[in-house]
Amino acid sequence: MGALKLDNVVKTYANGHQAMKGISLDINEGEFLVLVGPSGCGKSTTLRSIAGLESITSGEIHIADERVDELPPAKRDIAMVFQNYALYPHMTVYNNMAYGLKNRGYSAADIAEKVNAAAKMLELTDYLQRKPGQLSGGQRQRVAMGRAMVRQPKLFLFDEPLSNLDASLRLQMRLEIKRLQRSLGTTSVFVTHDQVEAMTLADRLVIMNKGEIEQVGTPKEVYHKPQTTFVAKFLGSPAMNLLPATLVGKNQLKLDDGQLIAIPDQEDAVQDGQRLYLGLRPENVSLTNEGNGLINFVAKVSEELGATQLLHGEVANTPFSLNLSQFDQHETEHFSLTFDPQQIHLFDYETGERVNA
Amino acid sequence: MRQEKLFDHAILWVGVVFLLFPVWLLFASSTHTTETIIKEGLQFLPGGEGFGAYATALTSSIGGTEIATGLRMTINSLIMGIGFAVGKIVIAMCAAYTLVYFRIPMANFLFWIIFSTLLLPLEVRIVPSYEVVSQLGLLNSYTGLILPLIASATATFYFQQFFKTVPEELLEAAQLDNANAFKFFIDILVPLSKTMMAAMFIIMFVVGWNQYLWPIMMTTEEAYYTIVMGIKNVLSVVREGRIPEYNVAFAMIILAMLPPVAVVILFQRWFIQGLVESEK
Ligand SMILES: Nc1ncnc2c1ncn2[C@@H]1O[C@H](COP(=O)(O)OP(=O)(O)O)[C@@H](O)[C@H]1O
Ligand SMILES: [Mg+2]
Repeated sequence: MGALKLDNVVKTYANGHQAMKGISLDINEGEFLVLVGPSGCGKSTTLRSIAGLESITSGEIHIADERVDELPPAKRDIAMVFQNYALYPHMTVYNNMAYGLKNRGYSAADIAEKVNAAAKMLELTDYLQRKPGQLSGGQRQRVAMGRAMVRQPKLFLFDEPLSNLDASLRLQMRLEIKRLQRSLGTTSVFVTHDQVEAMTLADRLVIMNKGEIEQVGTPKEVYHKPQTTFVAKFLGSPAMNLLPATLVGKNQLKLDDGQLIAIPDQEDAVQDGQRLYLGLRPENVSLTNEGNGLINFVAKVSEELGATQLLHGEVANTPFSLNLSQFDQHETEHFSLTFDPQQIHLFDYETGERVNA
Repeated sequence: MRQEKLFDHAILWVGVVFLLFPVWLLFASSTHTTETIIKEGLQFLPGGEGFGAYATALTSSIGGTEIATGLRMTINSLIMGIGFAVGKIVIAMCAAYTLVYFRIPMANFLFWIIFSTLLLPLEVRIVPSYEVVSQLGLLNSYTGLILPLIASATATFYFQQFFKTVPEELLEAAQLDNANAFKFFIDILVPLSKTMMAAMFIIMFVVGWNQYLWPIMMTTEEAYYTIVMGIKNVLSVVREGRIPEYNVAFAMIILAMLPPVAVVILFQRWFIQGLVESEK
């Protein structure tokens, strides 16, 4: 039984903009699902529709066994953490966490117990009488978490909760959110535009683009078997290299400058002469001297990352980046590339869909 | 650098003296006898009568029967000023809340109707207002004094602008916390508006306290006279061929200035405190 189910949800805003074009999702009990995609792709809209802060145009939303898309937010048994935390500035930390419980008619003793338990878990006990303005960004973030936790809802919703924090705090809170979610076991939907955050947090990832779902899968699946060029480019830094190519027979690719590359036999998935993109992750490619490898590469600029180096250049007049663990400055800029033929990605040139297994 | 500062301060002091000098003249003169004032004009230095004129101003009624003592009129003015300010704030906040947070048909149109009442101050509509109040039987009552003046386009506008700056997520968080529209208003918006309310209270109290035309129209019973009217009454005995008690009139003017000053000082502190706490 799914904890949350979206069935062909469409959201058209009053100005006619269609922000969700038929989103269907099935989320399991206790799962940590991350919605990721570029800014404006409809992540927040999806989350807010689940919360009931936006009404949906068509489709259905179910939480546990109940259809909720007609219910007001407070009746959906969900809690949400906002990007700017949305703490009540005039209330103490305690009252911020207690407010939702008070409005639901809990007794003072019950409230005290729940709030204190949450505060202890979040190490906020010493700050309960402070106001949000007197807290650091990380502490405010925790209060927002606490406010969501105290009600023990069926579902946590997070809308880019880490993007207002500085880099080191973001890493720390990321771990903390994951740890809390694991120990509470509450089903969660987390929205972010940061692919690293998405990969590290998710049990499963949903990659969205322009109001549609591009792919759903575990971080490993979506990284190693991206189903579309959009997903291939979106995940990974630097992004996957995509080289336009034409198939010759079923096991050779011809790049636009005429180079031929042998690839594993694609059998029935492709046709002779089909236009394709050859996808190669920067870290799956290595460098040899000119003529010894599979593709000719012209090096341009290198960037030092410490553990590895990035080398940017061109293959067949298309920008191409490498992520190398070892690279010494050379006289020449002409090299050759080798790669494991099993680690190539092939996408149809027109549709952007993956064609190889 | 230093010279510039001296110059700035000199200008400030000139301003302070310019503003305070008339007040000082009134105060100094109020501590003299009426005869001294009539014979020698306004006095620059305090005289020998002390605060006698103040006691007279507070306890006895000049230019009327015994009901309208200075104290009574001050209380009336306080009721008027506070009722006026509180009423305006309550009405304006409710109106602004509705305009900002509810999808009502023709909200913009309604706003402009409210706004256009700025073009119709009391002076323009005083005859119809009087007619309405008199037909409601509200002449000579506090309700009649306060109610017709209570709608405020300015305050509504200010509160509306303020509510628009409150992050939308607060409303959404409150919705998730099972707060209904009324709770959101009372528990969240009203506390957040504290500084705005203090600012409005300062302005509106002073405006209410200084009302002159409306109370004169409205009240025939001395029990409802306000202190601003009272000052005039002290001086108007001239018409009866009597010499006005200038020292008492001056004392009354000073007394009439104290509550607005107190309100400004008191609420300014809240106001600044609110700003410093930076609750946003
Ligand atoms: N209230 C609204 N009215 C009209 N369009 C909106 C509204 N809110 C968001 N949109 C549009 O819907 C699209 C998706 O927005 P959103 O869900 O906020 O994106 P994301 O969170 O992925 O950045 C954007 O193009 C945005 O401009
Ligand atoms: Mg968003």
